[in-house]
Formats: sequence, C-alpha cells, structure tokens
Amino acid sequence: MKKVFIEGAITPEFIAQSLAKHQTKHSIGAHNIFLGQVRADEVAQQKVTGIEYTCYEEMANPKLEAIREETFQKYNLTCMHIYHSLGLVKAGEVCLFVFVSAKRRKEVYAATEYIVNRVKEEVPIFGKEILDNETHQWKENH
Amino acid sequence: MAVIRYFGQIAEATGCTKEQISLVNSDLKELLQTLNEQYGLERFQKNIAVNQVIVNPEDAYTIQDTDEIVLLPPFAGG
Repeated sequence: MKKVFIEGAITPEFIAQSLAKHQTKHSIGAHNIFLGQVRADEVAQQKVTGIEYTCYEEMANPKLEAIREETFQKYNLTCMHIYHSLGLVKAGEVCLFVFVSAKRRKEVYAATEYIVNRVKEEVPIFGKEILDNETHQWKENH
Repeated sequence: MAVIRYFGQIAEATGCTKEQISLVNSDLKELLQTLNEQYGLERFQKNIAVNQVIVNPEDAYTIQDTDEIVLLPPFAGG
C-alpha cells in the first residue's frame, strides 16, 4: 500500500523531490499538482492559526487505495501520488499534495479534480481548527 | 468484547477515543441510542462505521463480539 499520511506539514522540499523523482520517467509528458494550503480563516473575530489533523487510518488507507485504483481505471495515467498531513499544520503550510502524471495533458486536469474531491468527501480525516485565542472549532468539508 | 471508537468532536464529547463493551447480541440501533443519551451525541452530525464500512444506523444489525464500531464526525480532509 502506498504511504499517504505524513506527520506535520508537506514541505516545499518534499514536493520538489517528488517532482525530481519523475524526471527519469520519459513516457510522461504532463504533470498536474494540487496543493491544499491551510487558510487563516476568521471565525467570530478569531483567526485560524493552524489545523490539527487526525484520521481513522484503518478505514482511510483502504479507501485511499480504492480511490487510487478507480482513478487508474477511469483515466489513462502514468502515475499518481496522494499525500495528506496528520498532526498540526500551520496557516500557510501545505496539508494535501496530489500529483498526477500522464503522457498528455488532458487526462491530468480531470484526474486531479476527481481525486481531490473524493479525498475530501470520502476519507475519514478530521480537522481541529486552532484559533488565536487558544480555543478551537472543528472543520467540516462542504 | 466489541470495540467502540470515537473521533474529532465526538471524542471530545465522550472524553475518550476507545471503549470496550460487552455487547454480544445487542442491536446497533440500541447501542447508538444509549451512547447518544450517555454522552449527549445527538447534536453531532455523524457517520457510523462497522468494521471500516459505513452503515445505515437505521438498519437492523446484531453486534458481534469482534466488531469495531466507530462514530465518525464530518470529514475534513484537504
């Protein structure tokens, strides 16, 4: 099973290294990357300073594996990677990294959106939004 | 012993993430009703997973000794 969950933020260095690893794959002609970044939303005059992510891994991992397989069936991709943070990710840092590669560009746009939507809707990940007065609220995807 | 697990705001309300309860031959719907009353969980929107699969809590289901029952708050990935 591919490793998806990473402790803490997904760093720019990690993203650059992922890209570098694909430069030996010469059948690829197009990459597409989605990066989800933690937003400093304002909630009742408080600002979100970060999100602490937890997940139900025993269910999340098989679900991610199914999303992976179904994406490969639906789109003609060379490879795909999904990474999501666990633990604290501060505002401005990256918490989701989806990286899709194919021979030509058309497939990668649609596949990226399909994966991101399914991860948000179907994978049991929970986010505690930490506010700057040291209280918190729980994030919900809509 | 069946295991009950809680996540996110639901775990906050129960004050724990895991409980082991002797539930053999209990009905899932009755268990959920008991937990709602015990911890005041009715206010939360939630999904119920039995052995990693989301189930309809209205369906009749007899809890097995090896089951893992999980109360999941709204998903928030990304």
